[in-house]
Amino acid sequence: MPFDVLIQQICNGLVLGCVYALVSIGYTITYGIIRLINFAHNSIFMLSMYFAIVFVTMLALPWWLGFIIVIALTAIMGVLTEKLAYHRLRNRGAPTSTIKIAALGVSYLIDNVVIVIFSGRPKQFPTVDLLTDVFEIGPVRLQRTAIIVPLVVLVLLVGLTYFLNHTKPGLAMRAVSRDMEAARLMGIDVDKTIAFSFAIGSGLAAIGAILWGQRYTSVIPTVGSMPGMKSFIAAVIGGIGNIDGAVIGGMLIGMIEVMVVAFFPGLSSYRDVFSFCLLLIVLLIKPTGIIGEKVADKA
Amino acid sequence: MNVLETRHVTMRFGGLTAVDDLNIVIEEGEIVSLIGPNGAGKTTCFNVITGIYQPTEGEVFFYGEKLNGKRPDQVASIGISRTFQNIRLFKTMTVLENVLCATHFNRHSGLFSNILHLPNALKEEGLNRDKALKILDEVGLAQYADWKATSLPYGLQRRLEIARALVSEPKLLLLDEPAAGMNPKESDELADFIFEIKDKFHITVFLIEHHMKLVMKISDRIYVTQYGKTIAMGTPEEIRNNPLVIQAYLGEEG
Amino acid sequence: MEKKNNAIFQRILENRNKVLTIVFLALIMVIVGNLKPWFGSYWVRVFNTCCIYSMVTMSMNLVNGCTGIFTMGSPGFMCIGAYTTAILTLTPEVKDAVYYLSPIAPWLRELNTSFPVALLLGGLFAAIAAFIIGFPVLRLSGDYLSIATMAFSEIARVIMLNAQSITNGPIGITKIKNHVTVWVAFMALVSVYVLLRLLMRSTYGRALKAVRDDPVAAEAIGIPLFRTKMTSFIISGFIAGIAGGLLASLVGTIDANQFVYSYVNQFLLMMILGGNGSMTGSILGSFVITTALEVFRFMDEPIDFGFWKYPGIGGMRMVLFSISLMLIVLFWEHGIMGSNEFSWDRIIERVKKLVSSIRGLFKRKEEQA
Repeated sequence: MPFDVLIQQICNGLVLGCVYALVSIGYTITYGIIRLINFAHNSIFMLSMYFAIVFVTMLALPWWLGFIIVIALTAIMGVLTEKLAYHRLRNRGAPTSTIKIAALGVSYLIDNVVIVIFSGRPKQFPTVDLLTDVFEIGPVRLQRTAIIVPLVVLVLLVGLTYFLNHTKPGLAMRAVSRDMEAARLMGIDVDKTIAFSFAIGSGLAAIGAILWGQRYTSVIPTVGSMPGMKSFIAAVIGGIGNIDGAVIGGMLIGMIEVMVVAFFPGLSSYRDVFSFCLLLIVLLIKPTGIIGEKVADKA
Repeated sequence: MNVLETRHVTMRFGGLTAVDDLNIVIEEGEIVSLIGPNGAGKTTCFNVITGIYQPTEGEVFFYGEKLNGKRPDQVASIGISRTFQNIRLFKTMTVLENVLCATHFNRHSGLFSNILHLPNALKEEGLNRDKALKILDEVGLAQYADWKATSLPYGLQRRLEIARALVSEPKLLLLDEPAAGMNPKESDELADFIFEIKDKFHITVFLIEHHMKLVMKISDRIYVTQYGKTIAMGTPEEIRNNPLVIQAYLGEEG
Repeated sequence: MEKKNNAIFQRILENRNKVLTIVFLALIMVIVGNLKPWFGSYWVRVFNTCCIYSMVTMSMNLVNGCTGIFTMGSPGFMCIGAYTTAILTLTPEVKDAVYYLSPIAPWLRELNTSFPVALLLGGLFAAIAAFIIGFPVLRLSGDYLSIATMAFSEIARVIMLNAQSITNGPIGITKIKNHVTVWVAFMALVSVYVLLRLLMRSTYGRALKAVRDDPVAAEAIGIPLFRTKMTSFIISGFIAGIAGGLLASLVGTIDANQFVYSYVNQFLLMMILGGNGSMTGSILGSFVITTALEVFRFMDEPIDFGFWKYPGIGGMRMVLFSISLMLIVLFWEHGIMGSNEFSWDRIIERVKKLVSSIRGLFKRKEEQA
């Protein structure tokens, strides 16, 4: 493989991995806090892409303003799903399988509403030239996203780490994920903290969706299912409940997906299966994920 | 013949040593108690014997057969039954069904004859049902056979759990705090009940208990543990007068 | 004479439940037999679909409801069953026509069996798949297990999608002959229902429930967790495989994308609506939801209310459907049956209660008058 293509592929893998990482943080945070695999997260991802189409393409807002609104709205949607669906069931002490099914139901509902409003036909995602222009370093031609996406993700991760370790709401989130009842007794507003974690997870998913849209511009109502699924797998592979794990898992899946196809073009039609196989392998060897700690299934 | 023997059994969880060099020998027909303050590793000891945990070090023998590496269901099927500290009944099932579950591993009819209710399966089911009813009768639960297990009063739930453990005709019965939550009268009855089943079913009993009066009354021998270590062993009389025990355990209770 | 009549009456009373069952079955058979003349072939097709979906839902209920392990692999098993049945029932000549883009593997071309054999083989392959993936997957716990079964389902789908010379790749298989008459679907449903009910009443069924209720206690009384879960998983895979085969034959064309992992949602919802752990509930849930989806079709068509013309929005029925399902999950989580099974005693008790409460109502009125 020529050197310039290799560099290009590494950058592709990096960008893909970064998006997966952002989305998988959403899965991991909600799992860490309320032990729920939020099956609706991929629908939230998809929804934010349609928000972007509405605000940037249809309403023709400046892209930066539009994207900020999209991120905020998506965060609100995340909180709404928690408040309207999961919160009620949790308070009633419903079994986790019921809450899991509620999550599936929410996902189903969002998908169907989007289909009714926007139809199933593909729509064009509003790309931003500033992000997608191509530049050259020697013989290597790269899209700007190859630099910008990792930078954005790096900044967000540093911010998130700071937030979790040094701010009051961040510490409250960590406390709730450690022991919800103890946190409640210590005077932490658990419901608010859970809502907050959904807001952060959904906001990050929106950023991930915007970055994803710069590369894959065709938007259909099922657009979230594959990136969502893979991010989810990334979260599990890294050790669900663990943010560092989600990032590592996301990067790993993005890289493997791009690299296997790059080195073995014959396998390209199987590209969606790599991550699933990796998932099965990791679950077999170390069910708690690469850096996951054992989360006791409370008997 | 030694029914149960643990040799240098040690169980560590990370940095915590829950059981430290445990050496217990139980002979046929004995009632042996394991006592010690909370967190002394008593239940962990049961969990090691029954295969829920594999010991970090040491070996467990049952009638000379090594138990290390066996799963809980395998341990149960060679003749060790147990009850749990916090009663574990099958909550969607009736009293009779709870007992019947414990006859499952001993079946001779296969899956297909059971699904199709072939004569051999039906016959076996009938025999097991009779056996379960007989046990229920012996522990005084016969009239509750069709009740939901969880609708029984607490004391009877304990009895049901013991009945479930007995139906498979074990050789060794492990009781984890059978008197927990009982008033003095109930625990007196429990003592009689334990004597009774020991004679009726020819079993050896090994129990964990906090209730000193009960322990002193029924035990042939007593092991005392503290922080995972065995600090004394002997007859109730010896234990009562052992200064170490008085200091470590009885002393605390005043 | 009167004495003799009394004796007969007595015997009927003694065997009340048996008699009721026979009458009920006869009634159902009459309805099923006359489905086409009474309701038309459209509803016959809906009925057949209901029967097949009921089988899938029951197979899921066996694992999720009765054994308490939350699996999501049904689409994968259905996919295996569907392809097996489809490939085995096509004659070599038809296969040549169907695999027009690239030819079928020669050894497969000649393979041709009758429908029942193909169906059973489909179930068998699905059961073997369940056995193989059960080894790693069933050792996992809780959420990890659900995820892993979902992963299996996706892997099965993508392999089917790409194994061009076997499955005809993304084009899918067409021209599958429809063997699924009303009676085939109905008998398949009844036999699965009866077998599962018998299973749940046997010592094996108790073992499954014991594992669900309290795995630690189950193990402590000698029930091997892994083997018990495996038994349930394999039976479930077998049934889902057969249902997949029936579906392939009913629909006439299959392609792997039909069996995408989210396909499982609909069966989960049928299971929840019917009642987790109740086979009778699974059938009711499947029939209610499948029929409702058909009835909701009017939502997609324009309606003239006189004062307002509803334009007919494509996909509206799915929105309505998902909303009603959310409401069920949120407010009616025990579903129609709870974990109870069908029993005449319970129904009669209900009716008696109803009658006496109605009587009470009348009495009060009389007293007031």
